[in-house]
Amino acid sequence: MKRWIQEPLVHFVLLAILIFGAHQVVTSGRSSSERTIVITQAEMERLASLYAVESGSLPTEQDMRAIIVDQVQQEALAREATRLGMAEDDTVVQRRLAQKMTFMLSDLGQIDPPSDDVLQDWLTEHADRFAQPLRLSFDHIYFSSDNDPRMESLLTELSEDPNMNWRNTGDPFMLQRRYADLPDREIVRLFGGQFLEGLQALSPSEDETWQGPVRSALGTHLVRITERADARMPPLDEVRAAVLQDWTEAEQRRRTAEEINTIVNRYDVVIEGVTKN
Amino acid sequence: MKMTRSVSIVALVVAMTACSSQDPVTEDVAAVDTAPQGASTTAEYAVTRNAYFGDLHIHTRNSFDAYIFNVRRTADDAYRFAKGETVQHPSGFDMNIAGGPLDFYAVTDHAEYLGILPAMNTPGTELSELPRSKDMFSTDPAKITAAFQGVGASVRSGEKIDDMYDQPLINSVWLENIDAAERHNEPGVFTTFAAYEYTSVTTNSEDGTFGGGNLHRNVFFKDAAPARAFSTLDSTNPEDLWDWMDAQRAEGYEAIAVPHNPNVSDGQMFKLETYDGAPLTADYADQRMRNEPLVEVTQVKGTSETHPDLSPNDEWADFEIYTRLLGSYDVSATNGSYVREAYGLGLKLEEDEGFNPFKFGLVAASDSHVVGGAYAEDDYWSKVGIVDGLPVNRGSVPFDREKSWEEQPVTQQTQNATEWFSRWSASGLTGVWAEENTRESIFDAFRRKETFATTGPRMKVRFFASFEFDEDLTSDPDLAGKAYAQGVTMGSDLIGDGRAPSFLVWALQDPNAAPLQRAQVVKVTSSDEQVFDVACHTGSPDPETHRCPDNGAEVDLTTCAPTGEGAAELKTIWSDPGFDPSERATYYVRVLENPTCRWSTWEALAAGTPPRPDVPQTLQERAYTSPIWYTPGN
Repeated sequence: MKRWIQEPLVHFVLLAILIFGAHQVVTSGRSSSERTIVITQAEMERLASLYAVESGSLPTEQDMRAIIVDQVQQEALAREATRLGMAEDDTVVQRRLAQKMTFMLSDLGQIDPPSDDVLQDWLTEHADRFAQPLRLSFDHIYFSSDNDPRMESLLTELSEDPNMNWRNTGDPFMLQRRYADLPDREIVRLFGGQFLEGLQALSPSEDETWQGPVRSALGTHLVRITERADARMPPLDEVRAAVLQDWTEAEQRRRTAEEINTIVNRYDVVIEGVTKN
Repeated sequence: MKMTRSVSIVALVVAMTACSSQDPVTEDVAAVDTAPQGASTTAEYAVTRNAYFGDLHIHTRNSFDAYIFNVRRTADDAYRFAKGETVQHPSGFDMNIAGGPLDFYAVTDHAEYLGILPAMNTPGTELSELPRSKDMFSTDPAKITAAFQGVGASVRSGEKIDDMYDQPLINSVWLENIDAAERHNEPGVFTTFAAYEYTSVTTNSEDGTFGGGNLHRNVFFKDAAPARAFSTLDSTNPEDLWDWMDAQRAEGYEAIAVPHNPNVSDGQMFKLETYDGAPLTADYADQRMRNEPLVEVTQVKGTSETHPDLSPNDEWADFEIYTRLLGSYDVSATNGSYVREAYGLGLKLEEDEGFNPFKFGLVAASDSHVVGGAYAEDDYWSKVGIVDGLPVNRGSVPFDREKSWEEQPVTQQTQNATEWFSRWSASGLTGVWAEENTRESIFDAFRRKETFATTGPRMKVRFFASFEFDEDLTSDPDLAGKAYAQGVTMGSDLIGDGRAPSFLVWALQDPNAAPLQRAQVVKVTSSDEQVFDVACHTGSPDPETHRCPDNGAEVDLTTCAPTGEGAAELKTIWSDPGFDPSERATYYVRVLENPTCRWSTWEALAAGTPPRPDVPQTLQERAYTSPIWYTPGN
């Protein structure tokens, strides 16, 4: 159904009917008077499309006439109701109007993609949204006390015999002894912030060897880092689509808020019982 | 119909863009050496199982009550919140998840009139033309309340409001919720379930009017879900829900239901007769356990473990007790409303009649109606949107910017705060022990009842029983592996062979919350209950009183800073000093943190007012495991 509405031929036929119909019902001419009801061509086109979508066929000349008569009546009655102040006490009408206004404001023209400089600034300012976190793969041996005397000798043994069965050492750990590709916030969730800091303080040149002790909220650990991907800020080219999307949404919100503010500022607002300060 | 379709398209687009900004999942990480050969598994797969945390009870704008509370956020927003994104509360402030992203999450909108209220408030829909729609969205509080109560009454009575009951629309919104769950489900990273809430409430036996006792259940599908959800508008009898679930299971839609808030069920959740008052039978017990293997033991509307009147010898029983019936200041009946009592009643039934309808495990959730759960005492936003969104609404600070509690006006708002909101809780989360973070693995854990419930923090608890455990097992580097191999874990039966069992109790603090004070075993028999401290931060339990020495942990109420030390880990092998091999017994573990400030105290502190005097100023966060049931052998 949607597809044929986009056909140019359909547009042409519609337009022809519209012009013909319009000519018969209203005389053209602009007036600023409140007593003039103008049905524009764009409006007629909208009404015809609406009819077509709802009925599944194009309006005939007769249909079009009826539609326009209806529209004129509706417009006249609505104006009369407005003139009598009816909309003012009707919450539903007021809310609809405000909603419509907001939709209009948030649809104010297209937002063109900004320059790379703007996007680069956006990326820098909102680094946290686009940054790729530190990820670590590691093995650890857990000691529930902070100064277990076994730790030092175990470190020596582990350095002398890389093939020793490290899983059989230390205290039992409730979770896992080997973790793969954990992002920093997962490390914090499982072991606490202190442990992440401890891991970050280890020198990458010592990766693949047992190091420590490293303290956590849960106890003390000997650690062997097996793989690391450092936190990095991706260059704009790598995340351009996401940055553009984020910027556009924010820009849209900003423009809408600005428009609403401008409108609200045209009014003096008095809220009873609240004093300005 | 047209409206909802376009909404779902928008949601889809938003969801896709949200996903694209995240890090890709790396699939080819070094496989953990415990994964079974040939099985398709995620990187974290572990036969000794990982602890995963989630919230199984979340409402969005599609719940009829949430929409009235001004909630406009969707299921997509809910899942985004759980994954760590900031989402706005209807009162205008930002909500961020406490303790980092969750592992699993389920949106459980009320099935009754699902998505109908948003349509009633959308121009151009037929529903928006209804007179009741105009009342519902007017500015006249009396009209809004009357219209809203009309819907509530229909949900409770099961009598449809014909002009509002648009089954095709309800079905399409249900499908949207299923789609949202599907979009956000990412094996190995984040698990969701197709789920909804079945909203049954008790009626008064004399005149059939609204009783206000909560018989709600959340229904979860393991994977695929049927195109229509069974609601109280089909039947208000939960046993009919079980029939429907049995039928769905036969069609390949595996599901469980989780009752919540037995504490305000007015004694009906665990009553010793059927919904219609008939005697319980073995078939009833089978069907109930097949469909309801778990119960939500703690959430925003209080804790259902036990009540001080039921457990006078449990010094920790008076914890976040909430007793007001739904939408009422009336107090719920105590008997039949708490899980510990139900465990005893179940054993009694088993001894007398040979069946046990109350052999359930424990989970927890927030029941947040604002898409995001408030789990932390120091960052709380309660649950009913703009109704209790600010401290003054929920009575944690004095009304009208007063600095004292002495002369509080008696208004609807302050009374609601006194009777309801000030007594609600920053709780809770479900923990499961599962091999990996996938629907299948986590749902299987639900079925096994290998679950524990916390009041918000993510402490982890393991619990095993065996006749074979050695005394020095607790220092074995492969403790978890040996415990699984030699014993049974939470949610299981231990069948007697004449010997006395021993229990492994093992708790690890939430590294980002308070340390632990003590671990306890709660023993329930058909005639008695007893609480044993089994592992202490300081010293060991007194063999006569079964209590830990005081560890001296306190809270400085002028700053909410904790004082004193606690344990990162508690671990022990315990045996029951009163064990009788011929007596059935239910054992579960309760772990207590050191004391911390309650949310109401934090909010008063931030506002510079004294804390509300009629609620506790501190609390001890806790975890409860599913039980192990000891059954004598032949």
